[in-house]
Amino acid sequence: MNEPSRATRALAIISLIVAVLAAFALCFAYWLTSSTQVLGGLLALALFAAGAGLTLWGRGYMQHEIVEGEREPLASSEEEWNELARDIQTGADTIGRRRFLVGALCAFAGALGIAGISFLRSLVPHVPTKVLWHTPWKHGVRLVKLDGSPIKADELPVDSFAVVFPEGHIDNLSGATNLVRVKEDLLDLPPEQKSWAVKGIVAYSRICTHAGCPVAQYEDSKHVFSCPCHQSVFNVLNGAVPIGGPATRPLPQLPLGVDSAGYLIATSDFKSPVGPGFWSIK
Amino acid sequence: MKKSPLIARLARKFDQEVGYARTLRKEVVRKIFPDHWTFLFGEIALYSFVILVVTGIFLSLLFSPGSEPVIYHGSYAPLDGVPMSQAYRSLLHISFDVRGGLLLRQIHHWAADLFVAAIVLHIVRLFFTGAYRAPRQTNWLIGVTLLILAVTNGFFGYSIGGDLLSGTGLRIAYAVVLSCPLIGPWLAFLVFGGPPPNPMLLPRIYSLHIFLVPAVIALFLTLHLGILWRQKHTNYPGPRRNDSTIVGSRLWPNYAIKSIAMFLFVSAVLVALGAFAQINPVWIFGPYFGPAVSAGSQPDWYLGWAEGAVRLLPRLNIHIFGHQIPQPFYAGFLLSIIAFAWLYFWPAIGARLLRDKGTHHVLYLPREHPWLCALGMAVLAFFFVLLLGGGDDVIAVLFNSRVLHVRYLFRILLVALPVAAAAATYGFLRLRGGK
Repeated sequence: MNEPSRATRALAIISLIVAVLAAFALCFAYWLTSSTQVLGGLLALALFAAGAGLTLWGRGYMQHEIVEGEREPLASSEEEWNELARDIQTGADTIGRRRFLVGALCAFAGALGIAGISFLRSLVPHVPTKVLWHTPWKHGVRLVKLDGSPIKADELPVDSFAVVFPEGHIDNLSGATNLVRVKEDLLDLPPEQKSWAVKGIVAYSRICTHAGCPVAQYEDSKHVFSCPCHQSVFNVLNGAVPIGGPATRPLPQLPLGVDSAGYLIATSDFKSPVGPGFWSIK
Repeated sequence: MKKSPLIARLARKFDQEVGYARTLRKEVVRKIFPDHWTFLFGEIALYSFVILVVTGIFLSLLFSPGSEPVIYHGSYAPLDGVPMSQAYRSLLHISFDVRGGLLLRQIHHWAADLFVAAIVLHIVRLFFTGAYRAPRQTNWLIGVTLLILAVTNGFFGYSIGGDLLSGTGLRIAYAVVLSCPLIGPWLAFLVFGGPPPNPMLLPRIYSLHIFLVPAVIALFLTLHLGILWRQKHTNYPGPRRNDSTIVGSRLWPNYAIKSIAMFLFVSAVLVALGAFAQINPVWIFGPYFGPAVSAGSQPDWYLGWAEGAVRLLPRLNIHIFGHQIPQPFYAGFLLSIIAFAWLYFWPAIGARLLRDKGTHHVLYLPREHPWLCALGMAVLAFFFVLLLGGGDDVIAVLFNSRVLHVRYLFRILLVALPVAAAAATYGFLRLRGGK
């Protein structure tokens, strides 16, 4: 092994002195500044200098010796293992009517385990199917903007886009809906959905049917929605059928109507669940 | 007679109570550790965990995970008067009003990223050198479990802040769990307490993040190290190294000094990152608000592959007995299960491929088994493309191209790069004198 140079030894000593000084400085710095960079910088310097000092010390002042040791066998000997098995067997043999005891304990543990799993039900606040198939939309509920204002069908310009909520449920994500007005003759909705549009105004759930992000982008030149998370693209004109990206299910369409005051209302809830797909959706 | 120091007298007193001198001398003081830089990954993971616990305790004493809506009136002016969750407000409080709070938050986040990275590198090293072979199969399984726990808890930590980015992440995670056949809706409601956001969610994840998962990690880590201690390290092939020897430096004093220095270096790097490299600037994202989202939403790196899979894997309209199998199920859920199942079964698969079930304490070099290394590189390449694919929108902006074009490119790469990586690895290792 090489004799360490004087430089190594000097550097080792300097590093450790820097470590001590930086640590001392940190004691004061905490009371003087709240700067993340100063506090973190001093702490990092102290830690780094101490690490460097120790490493250099190892090179400069310590013997480095490669040693060879023996590995003892890991496994127990056949004899030891048999002794263990024999003792366990001998002990078990002293228990009378063992089969009944084992059976009873297994039944007990099994039943208790099932009981324990039953308690998990308490962690589920609602029955999923009841929640997943419903939103606050129903017949007669007005469409309102984020500020709570209702929308007159006639005042909505062609090619406009708005985010709307069921009146009184603005904080409810499942009711969040994208509202778009296009030229009426462009619409090519599936037959059963034709009556859900009003004067070229269509409304679709804002929650992506792929992974549940808000479908937040509308491109009016192409009449498509797109989701910024995984880039699913939906055609607004034909019932929000996915035409690109990973989504497979159309965005549910909200059946629209107009109330006596001329404001846009829903005429029912969505006909299929909003949001990402799950097992019981056909 | 010179009086012995206090610590020696106390130690002797305790020895009279339990008698440990022989064990301590043989199993600790004279213990031999092999020297090789690739053995440091596991150590880095261990020390990252220590830093995570230390910074995590500090943060947990300041953070409140409540979902109750509040109006912010703190020192960060741009968000003054904005409605947000209690959790997000306390995150802003830690970041702007607590001295050293932002530093510790950032160290904690960097440490989580390094923790998973070190575990992954550790597993890669074990894979390419055959350290998964007998008698270390059980410890490999524990290691894979630790990887899953580390990723899970990293995601939980990322999720509890109540910021827009983490709220988006929770929505996607919920969609993946919800997509599970048959039990999906019940499972998702059990884990998330209903569709996010809901009042139960953040406190529930917080409890898992600071208590349950770390406790399980600590338990498995102890087991992992206990088994390692009992079995001793492997050695790389070399003179005097065979299955009944161990060659290296003694714990006292050489390895102890090195290891302490290593801990100091890992801490120094994490603290420096925490001080100078901004990570997860939640105040820029704003509070979570259901109908809102931003483009370029990405998870931490260790879940980037799952995000990539959900983007890149094709949409197949699968229906079984009139039931839907959504894309997040096979792209997210199933792929994760296959990936980790493959890792769990690897010791058995590897032994079969090597036609060798014997006990080994000497590692092999990658070039001794070019086929296995080619396989390993193919798997790494596959997940690397998925990881990049998770940022296809960011990459598209970066190169001023269309997301869909980038996506098609990644879909091709997803098949091509693993094949190319395998071929290149095999060719390279054969050239270097493999069999």
